[in-house]
Amino acid sequence: MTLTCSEADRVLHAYVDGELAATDRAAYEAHLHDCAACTHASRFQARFKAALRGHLPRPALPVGLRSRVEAALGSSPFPRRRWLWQAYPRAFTVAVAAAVAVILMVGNMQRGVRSPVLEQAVSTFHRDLPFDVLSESCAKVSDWFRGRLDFAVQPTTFAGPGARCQGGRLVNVRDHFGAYVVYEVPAGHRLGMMVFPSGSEPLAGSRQRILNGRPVYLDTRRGVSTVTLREPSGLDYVFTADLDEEALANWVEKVYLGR
Amino acid sequence: MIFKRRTTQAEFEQEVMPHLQSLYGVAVRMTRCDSDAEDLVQDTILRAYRFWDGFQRGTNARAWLMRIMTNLFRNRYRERAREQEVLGEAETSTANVGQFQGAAPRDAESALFGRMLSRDVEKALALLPPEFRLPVILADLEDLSYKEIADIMECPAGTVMSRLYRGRRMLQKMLSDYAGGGAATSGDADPALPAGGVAPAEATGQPAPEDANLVDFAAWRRKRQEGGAA
Repeated sequence: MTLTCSEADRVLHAYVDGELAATDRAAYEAHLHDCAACTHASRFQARFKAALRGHLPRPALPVGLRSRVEAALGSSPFPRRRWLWQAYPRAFTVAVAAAVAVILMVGNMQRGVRSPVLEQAVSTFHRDLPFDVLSESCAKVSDWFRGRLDFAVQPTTFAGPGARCQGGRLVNVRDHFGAYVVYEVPAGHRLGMMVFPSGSEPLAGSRQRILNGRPVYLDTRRGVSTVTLREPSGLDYVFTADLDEEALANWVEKVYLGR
Repeated sequence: MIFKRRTTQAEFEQEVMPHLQSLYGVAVRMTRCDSDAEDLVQDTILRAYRFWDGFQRGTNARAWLMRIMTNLFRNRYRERAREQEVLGEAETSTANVGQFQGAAPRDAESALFGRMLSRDVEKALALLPPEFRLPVILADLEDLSYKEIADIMECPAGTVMSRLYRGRRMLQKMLSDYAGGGAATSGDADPALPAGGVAPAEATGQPAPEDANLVDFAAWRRKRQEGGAA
């Protein structure tokens, strides 16, 4: 059973915002398939949403605000007189190294590492918001990002049958714009690639693996596998897919690293 | 415990400080004043620090901070911001959005996107009443989910959606006026789309009854299924 236009119109914004549950979304998309007017309306709203984001970048943080906030924190009711590393620099270094080792071990053994970036990659994959640029041509997707990011999204063009581009959107990762590109990979699986400037923190993942001589990190959370790697160009890549970790690692090795 | 306290501080800095720019961006667009925005961000961080124990680990720290900031804004800055508001203008645009449907006719649409200028977008956003501006900022610029926005604004998710719907329509109306695409408001909208207008926003920002239907997905689905069975 298909929707009427007025039923479809009621959830238009929820669709554009990626808030519809899978079954509702399927019903809505089935309606779009048959209805040019609603297709137009939903493309218009998606385009408008992307345009708002494009025209309203985050304002730069005023010079001095960060230090002002830090100074205020320093004199706030929570005592915060001296950092441990200021008081005991040598002991602190040893303690940190030990703590890091313990955290890594425990993390590996138990529930995976805590990482806002991985969390974000997985929710981006789950939420599957509409694209800012919709195209089967990876080159077009790549072109669209040009000028919208501080870096070029080079490797969105994969040759061969390993990946078909579906579209891309801008994402905010650690307060920097990044690119998120979705591919269809063999057997109808969906694969996301999030690219963003490397931060100071190390790559996240509960297992390290060497692929094509490169260290990568694997993880699985909420049913989504992730492979994370860092390019010498200063970009981090997080691949997400509804494949198992091994299959995703294979894909990254053959299609991304082997391109 | 000194060690515990220091761990907490480090954790706080790690979770909270990366969101400073994001908070400032929202603060500027809500207060529409750079110095108020700076104060608001600083107060938000201090408050977050004080209530750090109340933060549920593993949830979205940015959404939690936005909630604190929204409360502070509501309590302290709103009256002041209102005084600076260009009175009347936002009201007028709210009342007139009725004819602007889900999509503009194609000519008006290309005029809208083709002539959209960042400063016009910024201005139109600033003219939205705060209860419509905030959900647009949080959903479209900050990528937060309806649930997160509902928590921040302390209202049901349905209200978030109806405010977003109206906020976007007001923006589209204003921007198409700026772009000179008057056709978009001539009532010449896509005929397949329902013609119901939007009531002027009430002072409370509560959704009109028909807007409530708009977002109750369970009811929406039920009605759809009943309709199909009949």
